[in-house]
Amino acid sequence: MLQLLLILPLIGSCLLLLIPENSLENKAKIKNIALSVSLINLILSILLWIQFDSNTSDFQFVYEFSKLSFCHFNIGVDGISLYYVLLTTFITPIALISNFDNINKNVKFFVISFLLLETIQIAVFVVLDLFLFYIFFESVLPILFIIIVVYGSGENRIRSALLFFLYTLAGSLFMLLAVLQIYTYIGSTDFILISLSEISLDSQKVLWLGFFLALAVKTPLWPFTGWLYRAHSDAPLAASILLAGTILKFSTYGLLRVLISFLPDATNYFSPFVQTIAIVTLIYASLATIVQQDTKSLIAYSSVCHMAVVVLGLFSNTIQGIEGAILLSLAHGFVSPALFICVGGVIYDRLHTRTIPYIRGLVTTMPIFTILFFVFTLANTGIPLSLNFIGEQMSLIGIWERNPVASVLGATGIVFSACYSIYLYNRISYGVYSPHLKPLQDVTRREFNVLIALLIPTVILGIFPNVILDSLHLSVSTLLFNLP
Amino acid sequence: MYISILILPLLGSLFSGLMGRKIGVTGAHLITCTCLILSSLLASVAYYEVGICGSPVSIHLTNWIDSEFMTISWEFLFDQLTVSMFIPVLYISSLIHIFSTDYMSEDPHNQRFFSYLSLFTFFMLILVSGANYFVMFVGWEGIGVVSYLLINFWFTRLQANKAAILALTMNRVGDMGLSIGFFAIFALFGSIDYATVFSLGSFMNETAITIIGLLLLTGAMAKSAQIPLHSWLPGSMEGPTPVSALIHAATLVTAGLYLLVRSSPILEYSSTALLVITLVGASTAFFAATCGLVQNDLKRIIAFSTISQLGYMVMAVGLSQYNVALMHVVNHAFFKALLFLGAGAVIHSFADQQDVRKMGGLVNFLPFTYTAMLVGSLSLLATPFLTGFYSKDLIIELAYGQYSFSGTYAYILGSITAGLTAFYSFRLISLVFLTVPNGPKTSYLNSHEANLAVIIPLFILALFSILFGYFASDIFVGVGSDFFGNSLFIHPNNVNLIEAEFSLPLLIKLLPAILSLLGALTAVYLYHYQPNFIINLTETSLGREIYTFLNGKYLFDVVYNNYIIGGGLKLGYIISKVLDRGVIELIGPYGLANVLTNTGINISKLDTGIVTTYALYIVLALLSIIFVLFNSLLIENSIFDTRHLIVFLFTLITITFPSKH
Repeated sequence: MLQLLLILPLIGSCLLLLIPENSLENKAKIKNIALSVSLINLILSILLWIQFDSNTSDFQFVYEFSKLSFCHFNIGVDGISLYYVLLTTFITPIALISNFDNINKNVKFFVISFLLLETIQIAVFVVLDLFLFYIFFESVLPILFIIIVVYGSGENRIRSALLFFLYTLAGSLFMLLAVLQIYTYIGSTDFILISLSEISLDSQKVLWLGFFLALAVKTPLWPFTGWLYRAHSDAPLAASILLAGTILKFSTYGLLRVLISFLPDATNYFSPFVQTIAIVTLIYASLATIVQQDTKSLIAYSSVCHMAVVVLGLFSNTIQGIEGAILLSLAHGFVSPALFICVGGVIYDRLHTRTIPYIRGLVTTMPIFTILFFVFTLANTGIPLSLNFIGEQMSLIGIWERNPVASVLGATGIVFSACYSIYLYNRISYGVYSPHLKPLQDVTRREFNVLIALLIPTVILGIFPNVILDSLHLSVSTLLFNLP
Repeated sequence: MYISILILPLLGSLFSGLMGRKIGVTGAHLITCTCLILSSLLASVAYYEVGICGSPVSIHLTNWIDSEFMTISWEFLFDQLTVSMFIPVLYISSLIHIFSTDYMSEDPHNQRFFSYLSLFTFFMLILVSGANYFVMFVGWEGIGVVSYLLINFWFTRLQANKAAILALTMNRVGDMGLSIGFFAIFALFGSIDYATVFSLGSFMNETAITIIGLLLLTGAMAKSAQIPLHSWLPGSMEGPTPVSALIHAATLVTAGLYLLVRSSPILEYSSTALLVITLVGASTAFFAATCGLVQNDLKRIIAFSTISQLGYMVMAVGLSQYNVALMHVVNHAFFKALLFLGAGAVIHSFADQQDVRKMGGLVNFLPFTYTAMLVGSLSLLATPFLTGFYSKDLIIELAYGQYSFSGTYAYILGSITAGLTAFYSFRLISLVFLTVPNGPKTSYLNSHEANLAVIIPLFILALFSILFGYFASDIFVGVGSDFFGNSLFIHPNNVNLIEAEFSLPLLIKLLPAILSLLGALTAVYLYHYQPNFIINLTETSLGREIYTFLNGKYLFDVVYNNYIIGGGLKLGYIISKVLDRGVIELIGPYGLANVLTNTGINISKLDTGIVTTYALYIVLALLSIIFVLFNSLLIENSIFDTRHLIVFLFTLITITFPSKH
């Protein structure tokens, strides 16, 4: 099952290589094949979800590929990784559809790179080996680099892509060293073997710092936030969606899988440090968000704020906190792409600007768009009935039990998020219709369907989060209580 | 039936909002009004069953969040408090729906408007019927959002935009406090169900309860417009008048009160929290009344009056008289909605003029509206045996009956506020209806009484403003009434209704009434017989100072705009430009790139092609190698010696910094 999920996009890519990109029909065919492949993958992953047994904390659907000598190519999912796999298979078709109309050159390589990215992202979440985790964690970089440089907009895109590449690579270097150290120490990088062996506190601290540096860059935490808004504002829409939707979740997953489960003592030791950094990130990024004048970088900064709350929840050492953090990261994976589609897709396609002061009064000609945009804006502020609310409140409830002050400071995000989200929404949507804009067409069927597809899980899971929580309980409890 | 009360307004809202194009304006009117009226009728039945027959209902729909010991359900509780809130919410909402069919008839966005109104009612009902704090919070945030939409209803107006953003963000400050309160409640009680929390209140540490009480108060302050989070309410008058009547007078602003009244079983165990609540309430009542004296916008006068009355209610909560506070919530909803709808009728018939200085003499043109406004004002200033009398007067008496510092403070400010209330109410009546006409002639020629859809709501509300208190006071605040059952809790130490009713000196009891009479007479006298006196008053420098201060609402807005918002934006700018795209960039990627380039250039410069230079390098290298090799013998220190570090740093700087040549 899992191996099928991994292989299918690769097969799709090979198939696409055979089709020449010479006519409009072929271009349409390429897009349709890519979309079908990603949709089949989505259906497969939903089947996986249905078959998933939430009454065990073991890895399920385990598949061993024993031909590799240097590491264990084992794959499997548990409650934690299952939802990130689902998120990936859900976001990929959305990313593909969102850019259907405005990428017309090199379509084939565009869609192939997204299918490859899908495989790699699923692999990050399902591999059961630290070294392979590192490899897949890193291998999204070159592909995204190429996507940003080739298909991106803006004159600074090469510098943005370079920064994105350098920041992440520089951070990951320390992760590689830590992985190698673990290998020499334990003799294997297999997840289960690592979790069974005991590492002394002193070595845990060093290893922890190595991993944390890489994951902090990816999250991103202060002071490594510089790459995010650049990469987002210069990337094509689909890449922004993937970045916000799934690639930022690598760090959430890594923090859970590596730091909290393999290095629990060091995690405990460094917890106040992480909380401090997360709060600094939250307040720093929130204040910076309020003054952004570029729609995409505003939303990128707001991602930073939300991920800081996720980190707070993860380091709360309580089940509510960790489950809340997982929910919030999933919610962010729905809402942030939707907002990117709103400003970077719908508005940018029509106006070719991302500067907020240039846009005004869109509700006059685009009422349906405004409704959708409003709902997502509200979800971004963590309004009840959205998944963000559940995630945020549970994270902060969790951290309260460990450190009330951190919780209070983390709750300032509630005010800040309202300030910047509503500023963006109000400024763009309301006011007299700007005389410098030509009358704009409301959302097309394609855009509407994409946005609705993102809206439904946000709201449904906000009303019934137990759908997810039920299969998280055992895995998260094991994470916390499985002391060696 | 109980769930239908909640669902019907939502259905109306969805139909009107999403299918507005299909069902048209009349369809939207019909569907939303029908849903609301049906819901009101069902609520009346619920009031009979739950309230009068005393059988609370609890409905558990499904689980919401389950995580370890955290269990939160979609659960609704219909007890006496809830159904008592249903009455004003649903009755006034229905009447305002009917009123709006005429008032908004010329607006091109009727469907949207009615959808918002019904949605607001839905969230308000969720708020008052939730059985745990999270379900209540759904309604709490929902009404905040719909309030944003409704203030922003005329979205092209910049003032409306600003007021809406202010309302939303200021409410979020309260929401933050409230959320932190939830975290604290959860940490302390392990649950946020009303049933669990309230039954454990007496066993908990008083300091913790105080913190929780103050956090809940923060939430209530934002929603119920108490100092210092009040400044959004006057601004929210930018919305359509029915919205002001429904949301910013009758229902939304009482949400904070509802929260405090609902939390009575925990508030009662913290005397500190109660003291703070009393002080906040009394100060707000006085503050808003003084501001209301000098406002010139018809709706803003009534808005400040609303803040002032909310202050009374909060004061009553602080004095532990929850049933009296609730009675004032209900009574106030009726007469304040009447005042707002009356004001709406005046504004509508008088060419959308809102400035009271440009009106006058309308009594002859709008006799019915005048009567309605007069009834509302008289009820507001607690004329004996009208609705307002039964709660407002009682609150002031109860304050004195406490015989404590906070009680006396509340009594003194409450009595003065009563006089001020009478003054600004009659100032409004005088300026709008009684004095010489000050408006343009065409406005007078076109002014007319509105049609039946306006008159019926005004009439019903006027009836309620006259009679509701008389009929309901024994249920709500009667001595020995057990109407509220377990839904309210007053600690036996704090019961002082009998004290207040039977043992206060006559003068103390009559003082508020005397002051009200005095205030009303002064207003009529000043604005009819001595109009020059007021003008002369503002000519003196002290008078002008006071006038500016009061008209500027105690300069709260100045402080917020200049220091908090301005400071925040400035800080954000510094963070974004100086730190994020400045220092961090310089040290980080840009600095790294620079360092690498410079090092490369510097090192390549060493390659001069001159033999003697190379000889120097060789000698230096040999010396260094010898130095490194015999290092430990020579200096007997580790490699991390300070001297080594200095040499190392010096070398690094020489290599990396760009050389001049």
